[in-house]
Amino acid sequence: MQVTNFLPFKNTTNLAKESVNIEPGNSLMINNSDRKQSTDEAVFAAFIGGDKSALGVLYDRYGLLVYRLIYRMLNNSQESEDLTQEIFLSLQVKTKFDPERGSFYTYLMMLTRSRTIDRLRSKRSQGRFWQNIGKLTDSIEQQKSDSPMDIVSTKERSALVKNALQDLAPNQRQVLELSYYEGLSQSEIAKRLNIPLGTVKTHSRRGLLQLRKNLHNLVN
Amino acid sequence: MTNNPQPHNLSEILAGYVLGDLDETELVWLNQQLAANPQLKEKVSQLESTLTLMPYGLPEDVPQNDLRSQIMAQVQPQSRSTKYRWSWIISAVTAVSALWLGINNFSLRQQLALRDNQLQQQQELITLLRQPNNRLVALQGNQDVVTASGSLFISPESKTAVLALQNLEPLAGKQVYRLWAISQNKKTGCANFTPNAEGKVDLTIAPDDALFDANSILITIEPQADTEQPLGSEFLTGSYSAI
Repeated sequence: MQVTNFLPFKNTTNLAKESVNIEPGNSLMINNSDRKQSTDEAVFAAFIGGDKSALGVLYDRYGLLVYRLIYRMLNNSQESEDLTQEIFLSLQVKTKFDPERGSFYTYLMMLTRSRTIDRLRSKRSQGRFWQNIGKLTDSIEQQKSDSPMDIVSTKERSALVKNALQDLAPNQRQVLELSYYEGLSQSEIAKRLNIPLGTVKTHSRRGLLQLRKNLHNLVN
Repeated sequence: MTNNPQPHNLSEILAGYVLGDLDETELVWLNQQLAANPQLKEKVSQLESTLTLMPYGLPEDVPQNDLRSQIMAQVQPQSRSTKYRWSWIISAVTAVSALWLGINNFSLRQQLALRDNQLQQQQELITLLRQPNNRLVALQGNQDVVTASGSLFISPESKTAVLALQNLEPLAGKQVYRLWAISQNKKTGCANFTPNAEGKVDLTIAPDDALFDANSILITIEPQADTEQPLGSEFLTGSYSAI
């Protein structure tokens, strides 16, 4: 389960744009040596083109991240393993991913978070919670951001993000984590922390802006 | 809103947009800013990228099971579904074709059986016609209003008679048509019959000797079957030379 061997994701080759035009059924096989150099988008296109093993490459790159995010949100290892499988297997049907609109990584993480919040939906009953579901779904459609790029390993990237989060003011970090990891709405966070809604918004917005500064090496 | 050039902190509004927590007023204001300055979308993208890096900050938990193997065991190549779809279509076409052929085959068998039956009847009739001493009796109505007509074919050698009539009126209640053999003013009942929906009769009779001993026949309408003597009026008559 080591995830240290990857990964120039994007802008390292031109394969992505060439590969997205492959029609389903035309198998595009990528050999192992090429795979290490292939963008996520090229690997995904190969998978859609019929190369079953390409899904394994995507799992090697992001399987643990998907699992960890789900595990953080559900706090149940068995459910998290099941949902991780569901999400990767769902990539072979009804995939809305459009390489022209954003990176595969961003799509996968938004999909993971959205599906996990759907799962949480059955566990929670607060009405306000659902208001964010629509926004989340919309944000998947509107996603245009670039992936984390450059040649940085998962461990290095993890270290950078952890440090960037650690450098936030505690109240900003706390609100961001409750919002992103646990899928809580702003009003739910206000209720849980017993602080005004306006304060929650201020903390989360300023926290995100500060995180953007802290991670300027990863986000162009 | 437009009267106030900067009622909101633009960066915080952009962050709020990515976090999905803008109220309606803030959203209207941001849309105005985005329309005036499309380059702001790049900042939105950067903030979204920042947010999607959050999973990297999680503890390095690992699944207890080998999820990769489990996923790879379940994934199907894309082309498989195409094959599956085609096989489904072929199966459906085959099933429909088999059903059509089955119905067609049944229909052909019915027609063949009917033809066999008709052919057998014709052969039997030819066999009858080859017999010696046959009689063909023309039957006619005694009244002008009677439009019915037909013949009685008698084959003494095969002890068979065939009655063929047309334009008979349907009868009500227990009424039947009855065939009588007349010999020396003695009337012997031979058969009861009723016409089909088209008013036709096609009846094969295995009569007793009365028909062969007679020299004329009579058909009457009787109030019920198997009357001993004719109760109804004469309907059709015909005569022939004694056998």
